[in-house]
Amino acid sequence: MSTNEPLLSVRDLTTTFTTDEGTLTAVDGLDFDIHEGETVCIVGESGSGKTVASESITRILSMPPAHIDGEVRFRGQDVGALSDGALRDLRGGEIGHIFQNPQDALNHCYSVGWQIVEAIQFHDDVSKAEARERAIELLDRVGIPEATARFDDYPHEFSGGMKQRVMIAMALAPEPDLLIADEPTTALDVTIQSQILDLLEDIQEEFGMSILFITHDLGVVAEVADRVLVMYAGKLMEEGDVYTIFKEPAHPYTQALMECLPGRGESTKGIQGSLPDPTNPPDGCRFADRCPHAVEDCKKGEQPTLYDTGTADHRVSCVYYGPGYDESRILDAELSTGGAAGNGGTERTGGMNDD
Amino acid sequence: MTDEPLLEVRDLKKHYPITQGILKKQVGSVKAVDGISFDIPRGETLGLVGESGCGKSTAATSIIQLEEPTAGEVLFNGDARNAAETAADARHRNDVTEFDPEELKQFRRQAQMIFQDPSSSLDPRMRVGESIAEPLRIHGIEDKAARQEIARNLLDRVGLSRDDYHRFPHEFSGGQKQRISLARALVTNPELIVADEPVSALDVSVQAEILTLMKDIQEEFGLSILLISHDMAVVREICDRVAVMYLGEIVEIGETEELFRNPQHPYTQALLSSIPVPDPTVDRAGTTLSGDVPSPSNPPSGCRFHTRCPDVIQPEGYDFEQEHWRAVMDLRTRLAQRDIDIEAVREFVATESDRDVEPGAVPDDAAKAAIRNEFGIPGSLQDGRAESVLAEALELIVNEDLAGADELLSTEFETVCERDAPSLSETAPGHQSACHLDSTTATTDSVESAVSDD
Amino acid sequence: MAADDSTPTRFEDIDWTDVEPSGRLDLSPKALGMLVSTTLLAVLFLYDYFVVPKNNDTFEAIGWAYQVTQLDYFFALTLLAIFFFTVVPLFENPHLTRYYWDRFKQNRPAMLSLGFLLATFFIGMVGPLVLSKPELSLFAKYQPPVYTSVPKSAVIECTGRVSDGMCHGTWQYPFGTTGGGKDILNIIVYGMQVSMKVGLMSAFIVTVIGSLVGTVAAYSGGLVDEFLMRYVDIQQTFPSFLLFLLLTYQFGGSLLLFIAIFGFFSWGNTARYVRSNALQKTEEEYIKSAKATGGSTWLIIRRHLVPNTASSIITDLSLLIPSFILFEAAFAFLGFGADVPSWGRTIAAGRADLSFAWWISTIPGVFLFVTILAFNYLGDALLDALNPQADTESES
Ligand code: SF4
Ligand code: SF4
Repeated sequence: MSTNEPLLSVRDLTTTFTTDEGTLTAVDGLDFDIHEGETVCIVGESGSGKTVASESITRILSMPPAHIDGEVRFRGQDVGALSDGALRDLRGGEIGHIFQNPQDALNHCYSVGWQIVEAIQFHDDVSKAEARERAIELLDRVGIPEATARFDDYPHEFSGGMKQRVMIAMALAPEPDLLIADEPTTALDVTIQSQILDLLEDIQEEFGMSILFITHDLGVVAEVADRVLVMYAGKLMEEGDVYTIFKEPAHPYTQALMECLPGRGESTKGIQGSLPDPTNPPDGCRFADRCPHAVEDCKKGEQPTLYDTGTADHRVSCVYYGPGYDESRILDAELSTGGAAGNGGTERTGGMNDD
Repeated sequence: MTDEPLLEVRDLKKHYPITQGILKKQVGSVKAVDGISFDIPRGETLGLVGESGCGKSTAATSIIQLEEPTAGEVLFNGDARNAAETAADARHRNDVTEFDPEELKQFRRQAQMIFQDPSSSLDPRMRVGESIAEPLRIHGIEDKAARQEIARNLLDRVGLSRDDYHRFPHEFSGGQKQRISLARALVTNPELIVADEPVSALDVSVQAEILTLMKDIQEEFGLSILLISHDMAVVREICDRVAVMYLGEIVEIGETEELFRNPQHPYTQALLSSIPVPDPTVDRAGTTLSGDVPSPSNPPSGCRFHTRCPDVIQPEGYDFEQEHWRAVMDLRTRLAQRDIDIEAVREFVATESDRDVEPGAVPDDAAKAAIRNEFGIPGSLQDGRAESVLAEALELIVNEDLAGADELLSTEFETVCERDAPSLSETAPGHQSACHLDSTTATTDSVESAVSDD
Repeated sequence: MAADDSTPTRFEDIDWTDVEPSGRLDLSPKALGMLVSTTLLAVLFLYDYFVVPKNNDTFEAIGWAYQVTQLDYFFALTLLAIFFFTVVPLFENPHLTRYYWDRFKQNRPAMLSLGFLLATFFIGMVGPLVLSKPELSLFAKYQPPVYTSVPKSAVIECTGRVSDGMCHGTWQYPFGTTGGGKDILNIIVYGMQVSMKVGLMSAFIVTVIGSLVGTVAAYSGGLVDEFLMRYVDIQQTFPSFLLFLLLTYQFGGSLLLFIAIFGFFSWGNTARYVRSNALQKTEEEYIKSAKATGGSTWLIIRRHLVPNTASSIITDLSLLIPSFILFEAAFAFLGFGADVPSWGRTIAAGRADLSFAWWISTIPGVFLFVTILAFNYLGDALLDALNPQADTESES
């Protein structure tokens, strides 16, 4: 852990939903920090809880059915203890949010300009005219051509990529310290995605903010992240520096994910099996059912603690990194590509969803 | 069995009329697919890639006759047809677009389609086993027990369990549903499967499984597959050949590895370099394309990519920095749409400046500078003659004569890219690209001759 | 025909050259059942019409004194349709039925409503066969319901105990009698049948026409669609209320007339609804997939479109049915009704006597109210139970 106070510190974050089938644990005891100016990526597949985790930070989930436990501190301040009003101020102020589908997040009855003006005025006590000026500057900054002329246009007059730019402008309006970006480029074409990623990078440099980036795309992770959190079934599996994660993925799940990247040759078999039932998670490691290295100990007790791997700031939740095991078995297995996936057995292609 | 391709698509077009008023007068058309040609040999997988709106899905539905193509031929040389036809006009008689209902039904047995969204591609109120067996029923297999047995057998072979027959789609995960769809597509033993984004709604770990399954199935049964995808990585994984579409046209087509290693068309290059590389030590060096895809109802003249192409060819007699030339082209594109609002530019300059200036009082020079700035055109172009033309145009713009400026720039800076549509020409054996940069004979080769039919 | 010698067990074993693409219209068992029973009904009708002398009872030959009316034939048809297209499918798909049932069960008020409506239905069906028609009996007028009393002066002859100048109710007339001495229990039971007939038969007409027009409009598109939908617009502004009044004055009121008019003029919304639903569903990939596989329009409508829209039509109907019942009651209350023992008529009849004989209007009123309420609860619960949107995988 670094010595200086993190911008955001999350401890034991647990988010559950009450459903007909019982209590669903979407995020289970998540710990992480985000430091000033840093980009942290949460990467995971659907059902990993990455989106819920990001939405639990500023509590934009509707509660109930959601229930959030644990501690979230932003600049040392306990977010969970804030009043509703203060929470709103935080969301519209120091923490900005952008989403996967900008069309859902923009109001179709107002011009984009006025939505940004509103965002500015919500945060700063400035005149309409002044807010308008700032809004135009922001639109220009995020690369909307002819910002002045387009100020009065409505969301439906913008393309997907342009809408995402507008969303970014809106999130930037109050000059946030932290931007939470939830799959902001997933719905976009690659050429537009690269425009938006470039934009985010420029803006981060210019505004010096931190970004929490949620994505399923390892390519995007490699491009934007400083630090990476790998989530699976609500649990943190591995965390570390982006270079470490890609060079020496230590957790069997991370390794399997890397293997799945299309275009990595003939060996891609996917990850056999499916996610555990989130309303009734199994004992031990959540990945045990699909893990090619699983041993007896994996199915006992709690999810293994996050063990240090020896590399700085690199921690892995896997028994092999704990006492009494030899982690080289896993690290070496990764090198002999294909071996890991092969162990899954060809008979069980895909595996049944037996719950 | 002959060695003619299973499917030959010739100059296929699908235009959707844009109508207006109660009388539904046609005022234009969206050219979703505008003259594409390709072959799929037996047992081969062809990938059709492109961004949203490029017409790849429309191409698929038009080929499979879910929508009636506006023009063009789709020749399907399935086994049954091949045997039946020997006459000289066999070619024509294999044209799917001319099929009578009975032939069409037979074609539909031999060509199946898989859709993108696993949550909507199976009838939620039908048992998955029945869904799989339905095509058999449609095509006249009356024996219910046989249908059931075949469906169970298929469930088993796509990696599910025979006992899943009686379950409903909502009991399965996305990947499993896609396996079921695959089983359904296989059940009539087709020769061609058209798969429209079959894995793009799935997680990567599941994608890999499904792609592997598709590959295995194809090998086992010698199927031909037309794979529609926006994801280059997916295409690279299972396709033998790839066709890249932009705005309703195929801009490049070739062997997968060759095309990925040695992309010829500037669009393909841009597309490939936009893909984030899952390696943090690699910087995505690629060119970022400017702007959005233009509307297919009014596609750009000449090469449709010229409004965004980073390599767009410079006008004769001028010498630009390529980057600046691209910027000037961007300005021209916007001028052509009359989409520059000089009032707004002045207002913007007024807001930007610290002193309080009325928008009306913004000096022309400041407005011109703002325009250059917006498009990334430098204060002065290196080519003096080009600079003077540009300066003249900017003068017209600040005096609100957009039409004049447009005309001036169009005549002075006309490029071959906007004048002539490039045709597909061979850059390497089996590898064709439609760009003036590649073709020495920059013009009127017809598509017909480019796609040599033997 | 499919090869009989060796039944293929793997898809690649089918020899398609042997398979005749059959053009035969294959009927599902339930369609067949419907067809057979409808034919029987038609035969009975023809027998009644041509063979049985005009003033004889239909079943005289087997010694059952029951004159089947046109209304009865139509009602029988309605019931057959309900049986074959709601009840049978529920048994055909026990798995799905269970699933819906489990969801539905959680809704308490809806369960009560369902119980009440089923009881109303069966009592309404069987009751009139057992109980005599409510008859005038002046000596028995204004008998109070059991456990209540009325001043002795109001009744002519008190069937129960008389004390302190009050006449007490007895089990002979558990719900009391009207000013004409009709047994209210009988009226309630007969009224149940009337309400069920009105509700179900009108709904039947609405469903058939509405679905047909809606599906045709959606599938044909273009001018046909335009024409049908414009017609619906016009029809919806048409005052079927006035038409009914007019015809009632002309020909006298009858339940069949009421049902016909309201049935034939109320399908507009359903048609529109079915059309938009069908249009939306045709965009679904499973419909496209069926088309791409060579499925005929008929097959797609029958196997995919109908099952997937049916649940929402049922929900829609559960709100339409009570409105018909309420309409009928309102007409009867206003005195335009048919000459049948409906709840509305009784409510109207007792209105003048409310000061002392409260039960005459109140008891049918309560039944009417509860019936309407029950349909509404049921509709809400069906809406929740039949739309399995909640269980699509949630992306996180
Ligand atoms: S703890 Fe066991 S099951 Fe979990 S990842 Fe490590 S080896 Fe696999
Ligand atoms: S023809 Fe011109 S505009 Fe088109 S791709 Fe080639 S260089 Fe670019």
